Amino acid sequence: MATSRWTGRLLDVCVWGTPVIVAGMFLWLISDLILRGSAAFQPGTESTGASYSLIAVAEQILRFLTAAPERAGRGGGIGPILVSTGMILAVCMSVVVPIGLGTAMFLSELVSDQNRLGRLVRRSLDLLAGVPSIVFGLFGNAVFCQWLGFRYSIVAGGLTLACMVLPLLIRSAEEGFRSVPDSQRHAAAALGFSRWSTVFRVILPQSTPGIVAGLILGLGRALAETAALLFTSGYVDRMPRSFLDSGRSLSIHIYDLSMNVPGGNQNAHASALVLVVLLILINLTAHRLTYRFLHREVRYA
Amino acid sequence: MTASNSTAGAVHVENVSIRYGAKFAIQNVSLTIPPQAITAIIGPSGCGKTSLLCSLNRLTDLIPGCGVTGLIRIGDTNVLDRRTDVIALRRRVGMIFQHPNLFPMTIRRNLELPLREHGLQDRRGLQEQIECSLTDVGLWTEVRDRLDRPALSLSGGQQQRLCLARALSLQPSVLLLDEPCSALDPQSTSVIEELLLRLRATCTVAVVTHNLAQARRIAERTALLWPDTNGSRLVECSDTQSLFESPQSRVTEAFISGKVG
Repeated sequence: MATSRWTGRLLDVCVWGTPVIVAGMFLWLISDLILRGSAAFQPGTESTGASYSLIAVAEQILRFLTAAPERAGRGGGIGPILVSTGMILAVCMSVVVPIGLGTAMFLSELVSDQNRLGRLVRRSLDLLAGVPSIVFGLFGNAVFCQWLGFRYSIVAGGLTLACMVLPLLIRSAEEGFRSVPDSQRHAAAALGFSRWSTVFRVILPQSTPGIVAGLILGLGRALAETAALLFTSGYVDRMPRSFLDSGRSLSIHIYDLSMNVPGGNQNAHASALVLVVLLILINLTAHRLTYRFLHREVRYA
Repeated sequence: MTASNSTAGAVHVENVSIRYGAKFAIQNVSLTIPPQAITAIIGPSGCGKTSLLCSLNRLTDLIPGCGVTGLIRIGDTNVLDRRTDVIALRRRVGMIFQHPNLFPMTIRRNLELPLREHGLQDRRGLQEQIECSLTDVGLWTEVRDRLDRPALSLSGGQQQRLCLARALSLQPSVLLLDEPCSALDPQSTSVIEELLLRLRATCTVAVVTHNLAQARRIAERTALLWPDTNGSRLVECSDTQSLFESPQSRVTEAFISGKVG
């Protein structure tokens, strides 16, 4: 009895302790970023005393988000970097969403589980999902930058990211499609729906939570990616002139500041803070969307 | 509904066999489901009643490994012919399943979606058809104020009636029902039964049921399927009254008296 009680206690401690550790790590990371990064947002020395107001800080944050980097990023802001990041993500998502949804539809609605092609596609996706990002970077450099002649550009970076993100989106969208019970497909078929109407009118609306989750997962991974972009989108920190221009993403900016630029630590932390806040915002929006969607459509299921 | 429509609804089944992979669900079944009447299909669990029903609107196409042979005619449509327009066929042959399978959307959207799918787009036409089919199933007064609420917030009986309204909105000439009341309470069951009795004036109705009393209450004709060594066969198909009161086969007699099955 005694041992089992102690074992129980121990398990209690573990079960309660692990989440505390996990939450603690997150809080530590965030507070570290805030403490070190927020120094970049403090109003300069010329303004003293009362200027430590909220408005002054907000102005400083806004300036950091819009200004161009100075002295290799030691000073100034991250305006062009944010623009490049946004453009890279836009290229990535505009490729990933149609191809990803199409493939997921193919896997779950058109072919059976035993289908050879379906199995081949699934196997390849699982392998792709496990490939390290640096390998994607080399591949992207060889194919998009050199073979297709995009050179170091936002297009090449976005396409490379698309290759990385596709497996994630396809698998979760497929799960989303499969989570819709067959009875729904039968109901639609018995009412004389064509296969495509069934997919677009009945299955797709019901699998939105899975698809959104996959998109967010992919977006997060793309936003955080450094290695794959190093050889594809380049690291020029000026404002990109077009999608074929080279552009530095936020994560590369952080990498460059902390590894190659002495004295760039403060801005590296500030940029990291921006990146993490962006990721948190994306996650919250996703939760919001999924939650609202669920409550609109399938609350009583 | 006109007379030509009702004759178009007779269902002829000749030598139909259905198999899943190598295993036969039913073998060589032949029967006629006459128009403007209710035909009950009875038999023990797993004897292929549902498979037979699903072959009539080619829903068996959706099941991997399922093969149907023989001849099925509905009006002058050869159902099993590869060239038959399945979508047009399923529009004419409505189906209700054992469990209500509404879409997880609003009540209105559930009814609108199939109508839009078949080309009805204008708002007034949709509204009229929705009101009409909800009135048909006696649901209009119950849900008129909450058409934009989720369909799945309705009770089980209401959901099944909404399924029925959804199928009826396409004005089918044949209605297939797969144990439509097995998941319902007695009160909802009697509402649905009354509805079927009214529908028989315009539709060919085939209903699979586990409930012998139900077959007796509502069906003009009753068919009994019985499992055999390699797939079920049709044992008897005749007037409900004669099948229950003077069965021709000993299997029928044993089944309806509750000795087997």
